[in-house]
Parts: sequence; structure tokens; C-alpha cells
Amino acid sequence: MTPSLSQVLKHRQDELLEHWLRDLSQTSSDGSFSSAHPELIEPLRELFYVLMTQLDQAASREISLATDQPSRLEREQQTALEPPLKQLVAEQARLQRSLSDTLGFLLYLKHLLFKALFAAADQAVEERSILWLDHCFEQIARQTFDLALAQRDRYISEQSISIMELSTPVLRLWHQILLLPLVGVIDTGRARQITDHLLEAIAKYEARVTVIDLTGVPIIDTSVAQHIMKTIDAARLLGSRVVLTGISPEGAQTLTKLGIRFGDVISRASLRAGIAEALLITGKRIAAMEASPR
Amino acid sequence: MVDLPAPSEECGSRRFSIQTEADVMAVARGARQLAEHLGFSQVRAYHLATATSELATNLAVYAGGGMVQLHVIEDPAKANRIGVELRVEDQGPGIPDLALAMTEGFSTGARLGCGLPGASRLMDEFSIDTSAHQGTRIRAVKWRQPALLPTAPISTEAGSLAPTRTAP
Repeated sequence: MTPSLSQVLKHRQDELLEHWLRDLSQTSSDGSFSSAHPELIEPLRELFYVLMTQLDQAASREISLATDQPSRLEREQQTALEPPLKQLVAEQARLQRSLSDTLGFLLYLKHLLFKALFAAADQAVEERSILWLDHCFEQIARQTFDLALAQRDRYISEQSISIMELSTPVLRLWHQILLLPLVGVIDTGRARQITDHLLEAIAKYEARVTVIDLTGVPIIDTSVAQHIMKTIDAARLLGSRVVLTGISPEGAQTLTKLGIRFGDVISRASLRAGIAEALLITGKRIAAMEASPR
Repeated sequence: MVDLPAPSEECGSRRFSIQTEADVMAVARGARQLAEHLGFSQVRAYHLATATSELATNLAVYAGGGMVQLHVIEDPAKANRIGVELRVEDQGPGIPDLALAMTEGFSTGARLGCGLPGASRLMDEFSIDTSAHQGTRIRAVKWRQPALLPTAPISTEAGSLAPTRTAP
């Protein structure tokens, strides 16, 4: 049992909270955290109460420090702490504050708790309760770290999805002519998406020619070439001819060395030449305006 | 002749772990940057990057992941000749029939089948060591300058693409 810890927590809870929040509003003197944003006060307050409830519950029970017993208590504590910690981490990320600040806030609370504990104890503080409190905060720090990383991972994967969507536009260049500028990496997932978008647009606009521009594709290897070929085949089945443009001179040399043939696909060095070709196929041309009669 | 940048420690060696297709681009980009940093011509840098991309894709698609390493090396036989050594290793199932895999247009996986033979053509040196269940190791080198053939002294980049062509 750790009665002293439990007592401290019960009697000085409000005082501790006020002290904690007040100190967090300024940058710490030892530089372990910079001041908490005012919007953070509510999430911190909530976290504090959940944490106190957990500590109190744990302290009032028989606490086992045996490490070979990954206690039910710990798991309960983690589950209970997850929502407020998650909120804290998310707020910090939104405010573009660092994870070390977040950890700094939490570890500062540990510091305050220890101080209160030592001040309240008449006799020497039970070693077990010190170890236990330390262990608790270790768990919390680890959990915070994991939550922050998970949050970042989620953010990155959301971003890459939006980049993917942004980077596959199918443009209507002219009546029955589409332009598909490809930029960036073309892997299997993206190739499928590109093909989907293109086929949809071909059907919608009854396109007779599609210009696929590869200027923005950094490297054309066999797998990229294969994806493009499949896209071309599918476009053809819908009755659209394909004009490839923007293969760089070194790209062309590399493709021939690899032994890749684009067969009877029309290819032009520049987008300009490709557009001229597309217009030709649809029986149009760009001409200078007639000199106005004066 | 441009000054040869000394292969420095920090750019001398890079390791990439390839697990999925998404990892391929980073190593191809790394190879290209390294080659351009060393003063490779655009075409030769592109060759190296494409070969790296082919082999890394193989790791992701067939071998269930592996390791790609890029090293800057100097030709022991010739001073001032530098190149990029590409080492590709996996613990995958190995290539059952190497001769067949090196055949143009052969693929077990409904692909174009020019990855391995194509990559070997893009590099100046290429050796492969594979055994069933022991994985595959590939070592390949791209030199900064094309080999000068004594019978046909070719100095242009375009010439290097057809080393067997006789001098005009």
C-alpha cells in the first residue's frame, strides 16, 4: 500500500493542478518545454483528472512492481489515458508544437507530484511508491510517443493519398482531345488510378485522341513502361488513339537498351509536337488569324 | 577534362531497405543523385538509376524485400576512373533457372521480362549469384566514363551504346 501517495493525491489535487497549469503557461526555466498554448489548457486539465483517477485507484490497491506481471492495471491505465493523451498530442500537432514539449509537460507533472509527495511525507517516503510513480510516468511517456508517431503516420498517408489525387488530372485540351500529364512516381496503385481516370474521361468526352505526357516522370523502367502500355491498350479499346510525348533523350536511349518497344504508339519529343499531332488526327490545325481587311 | 571529385566518405556508401514498390523510387533517386554528383553524364546517370530501379523492383515483387547498397569505387587498374557499384541482396527464394531469367521476354510474373537482361545491359559489369532458398546477390558497376575500346576509339556518349560498331 502507498497511503502517503494516495493522501497527497487526494488532498492536494486542485492545488497541484493549478500549480501545473500556471507553470506551463510560461517557458520552463530549464528549457524542458516552451509555454503551453492557451487552447491546450482544457485538454491538459482533462488529462490531469483522468490521470489522478488512475493513480488514485492504483495507489489504493495492492501494487505489485513485479515486472513479470504486465499487470491488468497497466493496461487499464493505458486504455483510460488514451483519449486525453490522444487529444493532447493532436492539439500539439495542430499548433505545430514539438513532441518534446508535450513530453516536457507530462514530466513536469511528475516532478510536481514528487515534490508534493516528499513535502507531505513525515517519515521517509516508501521506496515502492517512488518506483511505482516513476514507472507510471515512463509508461505515459512511452504511450505519448507512440500516439504521436501514429498520428504522424496517419498524416503522411493521408497526404500521400491527396498528392496522388492531385497529380492525376485528365485535362480536356480540345474537342475530343484529352491531355494526361504524368508527374512523379508511377507504381501499381497509381497506374490503376490513372487508367481509371483516363477511361472515365475518354468515355465522357468521346475522346478520339489522348496525349500522354511523360515529362514529369523521373525514370521510365520496365514496370513504368508496362503500366503505360496497359493504359494505352485500355484507351484504344475505348476508341481513343494515344500520342506519347516528353520522353527525354536519355530516357529513350535507356528504353531501347532495356529492349522495350512501344510498338505502333505515336510518340513525339515535345508536348507541342504531340498536340499538333492530336489536332491533325482530329482534322484540325492551329493557324494564324487572317490579316484584318483595312 | 573536368576535375574528378574525390569520393568522399559521406557520399561513399548508401544502404536502402526495399520492402514494397513504394521504396523503389528512393533508391533510384539516390543512385541518380550519386551519379550526377560524381559527374556522370545524364545518359549514364539515367542508365544507372533505371537499372537500380529494375533490380529494386525485383526485390519488392519477387524476393519479398531485400537490401540495395550503392558504393563509390575506384578502378584498381586505372587511376582516376571512378564508378558506382550496386549491390543487391535478398533472402528470397532464389532464381530457379538463371539462364531462363536472363532470357529476353521471359517472366514468371506476367511482366515484360526485360528487367534482368535489361539491367545487365545498362550496367558495365554485372554478376549474379543465386541458389534456391539462399537468396540472390547481384553486383553491378557503372563507370563514370564508357570503356574505351581499342579497336574503336569512341568518346561520345552515343557511341557507348553500340560498343561493337566499328570506327568509321
